[in-house]
Amino acid sequence: MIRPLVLVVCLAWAAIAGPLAVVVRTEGSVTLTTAKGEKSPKAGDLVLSSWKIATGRDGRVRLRLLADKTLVDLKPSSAMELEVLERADRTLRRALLLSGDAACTLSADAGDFRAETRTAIASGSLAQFDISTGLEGGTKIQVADGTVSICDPSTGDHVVAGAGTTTTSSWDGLAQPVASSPVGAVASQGDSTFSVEVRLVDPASGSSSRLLYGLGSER
Amino acid sequence: MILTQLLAFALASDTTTLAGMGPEASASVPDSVLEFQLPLAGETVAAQGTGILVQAGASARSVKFAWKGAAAGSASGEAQGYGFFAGSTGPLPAGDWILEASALDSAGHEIAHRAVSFRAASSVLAASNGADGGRTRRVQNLHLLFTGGFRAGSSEDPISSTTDLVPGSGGVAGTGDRWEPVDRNAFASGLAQYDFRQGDFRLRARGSSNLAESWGHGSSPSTAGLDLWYGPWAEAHLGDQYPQWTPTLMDGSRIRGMGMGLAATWRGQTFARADVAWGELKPEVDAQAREFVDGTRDTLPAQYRRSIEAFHVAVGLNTPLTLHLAAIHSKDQSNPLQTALQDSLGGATPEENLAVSGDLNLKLWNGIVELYSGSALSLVTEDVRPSQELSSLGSDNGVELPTFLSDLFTFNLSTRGTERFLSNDGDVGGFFSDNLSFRGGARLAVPLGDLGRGKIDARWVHVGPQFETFAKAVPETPRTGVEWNATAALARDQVLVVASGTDVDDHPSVGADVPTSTLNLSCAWIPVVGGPGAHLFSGTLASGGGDQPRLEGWNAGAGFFGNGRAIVGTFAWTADWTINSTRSRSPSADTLPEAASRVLQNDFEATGKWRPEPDLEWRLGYQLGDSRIPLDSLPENQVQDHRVAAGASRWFLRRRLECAADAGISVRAGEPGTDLSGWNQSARVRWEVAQGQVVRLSEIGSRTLARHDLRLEAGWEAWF
Repeated sequence: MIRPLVLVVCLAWAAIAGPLAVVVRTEGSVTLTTAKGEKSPKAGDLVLSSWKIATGRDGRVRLRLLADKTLVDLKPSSAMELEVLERADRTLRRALLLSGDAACTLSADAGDFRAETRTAIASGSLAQFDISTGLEGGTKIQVADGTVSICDPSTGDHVVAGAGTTTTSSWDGLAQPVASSPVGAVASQGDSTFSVEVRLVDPASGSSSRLLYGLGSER
Repeated sequence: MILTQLLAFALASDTTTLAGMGPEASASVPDSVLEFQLPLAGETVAAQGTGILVQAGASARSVKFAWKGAAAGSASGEAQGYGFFAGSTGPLPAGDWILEASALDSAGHEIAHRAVSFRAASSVLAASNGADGGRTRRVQNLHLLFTGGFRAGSSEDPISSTTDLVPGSGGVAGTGDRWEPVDRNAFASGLAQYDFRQGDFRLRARGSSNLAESWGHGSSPSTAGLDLWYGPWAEAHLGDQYPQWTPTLMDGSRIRGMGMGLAATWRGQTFARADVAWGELKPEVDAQAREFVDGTRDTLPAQYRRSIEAFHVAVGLNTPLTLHLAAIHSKDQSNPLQTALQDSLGGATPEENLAVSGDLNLKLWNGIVELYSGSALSLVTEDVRPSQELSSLGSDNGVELPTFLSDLFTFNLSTRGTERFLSNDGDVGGFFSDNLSFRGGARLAVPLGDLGRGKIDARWVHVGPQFETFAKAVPETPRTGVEWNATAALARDQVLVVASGTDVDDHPSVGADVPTSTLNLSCAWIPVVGGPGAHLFSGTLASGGGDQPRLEGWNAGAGFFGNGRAIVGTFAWTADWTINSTRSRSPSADTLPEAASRVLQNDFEATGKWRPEPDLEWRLGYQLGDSRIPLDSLPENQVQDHRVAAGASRWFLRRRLECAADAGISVRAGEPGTDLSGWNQSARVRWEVAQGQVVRLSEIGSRTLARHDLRLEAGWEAWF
């Protein structure tokens, strides 16, 4: 009963081919993996659905979605897959961040756009946010402007994060937005950083807390 | 995993609406249409030139490009499929340009012609989204949150009443207002934030209050503020603000007052800025006599109003060389009547703080190497009462106070480090060392090629035992030594290795050095898509020794996690295990068995979430905490805590309505005579009654250490 239903849902979400974005500019090492193989993209190149774009340690690339002019800036040592998903009642565009960091500037018509990782889905309009992956698949989303709806894919929980807040999502669930630390915000805008989260659990009370070890600079 | 994401996609999409043209529409535009995708009208491109991309009608077989400005050029479009044609301008002199595109059919006839103007600049750093990124559009957001409820059973606040103590006649304390905490049985909180943006102008008005907190001696539980920005160039703040200009001096402590900032831009980015803020760090609170629910009473000294003025300037932002300078001055406001009462209650004396800092950051070789330093010097006078002021630090060493310093700061015998100057040899170096904070080091981005990325950070740190800044709520641990960490992320972040360590001397007091070293290692495997992952970690700590207490500890652990399809639906799970060992030894306890000061602790936790269908989730978790003292075979010295929890969630109305319930029970074994078992249960409802409006209801009941508690809560949150 359930499995056929799930199969139908999956088929309804099948990815479709088609142009999705344009490469606005690149810096350093950038690789675009197409259906025919890999190439180094240049400004003006189209990015089609299901293509993957990756940056090297010194690489950056700016993409602009054709439909609504939303900007996606992929930072060094990051990888992303763009995809168009056709559903019965709508077409969704997905930027799946496989690793690293990206900054998204959503236009007013970005309602069908999703920035995704394995543990979070971010959407909105007229908003700016940074999205980065971390240890154990965790995701950090820092909203710089506007409001962003953030969803935990595994539970369906979602929160609305306003400007100046940071939200984390991991296998353990979605945390409530907290005020961004300028220190963290600067770190996320610089070179890619990575961190280690250690969870501490008090067995008596069941309460848990987290220690975050990061390489973010003091400034 | 893919299935999970696809399902989640459907869930998330319920909250937003589809807008704009779908990408599939690109392939079927009319013949008369010729749309520029790159560059856009009014866009600024780099002097290296820009790529060109246009979308033409279905009959177009070729597209020709021509551009005019300080020079002229042309190119033929390269078909990209789906009706797109691409080209490139090559290098362009800075200035305004017009780009024309002509679409031709198979016979060579022009079927569409369009032009767009753009600008070439020597550098493009500012983000542009179309002509103006939609910034001229007026945007308003309003966020409201109200929560309130009742509590029955054990109160979280042990205070039954508080009476203000005020200075009375003849130096005797009199009584003022008497009040009872309202949050013993009821609580409420609210938050409102309004954002407005048009063009370069932005405004934010915010306010919040939390009646769930008893406001004793601290900051007010209410906040209010107004923030104004004009582009990146100017900003002003009124009310509560939380500046973090320099990590050495300010960690975001609340300043209630005013603030301003001015910035200069270069090539589209902020290059320099100056900020100033002044106001109140702590409010004045009268001394209090408190009565507790168990009938006991005590008194609490007053809190002085603490003012602050702060200044910050930064140069070279967004360049390889950045310099920050900051200064703060903070002082407690007191009067003789207050001080007399305060002394009679044994309260703190009025203090004053002056601190300056300088931070330098230099990036080399495109950021591969980064050198940094941060230093700050602080002066703290622990009692500013006028009778103790000094104009000189002693005639023997000839250190005279500059006159401007006495106008700026109260220097007296209670100023930290003064004894260094007043000693016969005038230990100036010791004075600076005790009141100085310095951190200097280097970061190196290790090139790992296709393997991944790595970074090493090593620094020398010194925080003097008397260094303090009132603008930091959490003071740094006084210490001197080396700290380092190294991280590598390999195989597209699927393997992460982190190592860190310290070798420092802690300074618990002036002149005391306690050697401390730590080493921590961790490694994690995180699969890109689904599959089980794992992480391992271990660490050690060694501190003290010789004639000082010795503390040794180590920990190790492992964890596994994963998710995927179950026989029915999906299943996500985690399992973590940690072992901690701590051994302490006091010099005076050498005759006691060493094992008496050793503690071993094991922690284990496992969780599982099963979703037999998208709108139903079952949760189960187990935790074990095992604490014991080895070599002492008495069984009562081993304590085990077990906790089992289970819960379920069900969603309705396309996930707009969530109903959830959880319950858990905890049992402690090995400690007879004390009932340490407990239970807790909760139920909650979250209902998105309208677009952007959420109602929450919750009930929490628990029993812990023979205390029963019941809490009912309702809340409403909305975004407009």
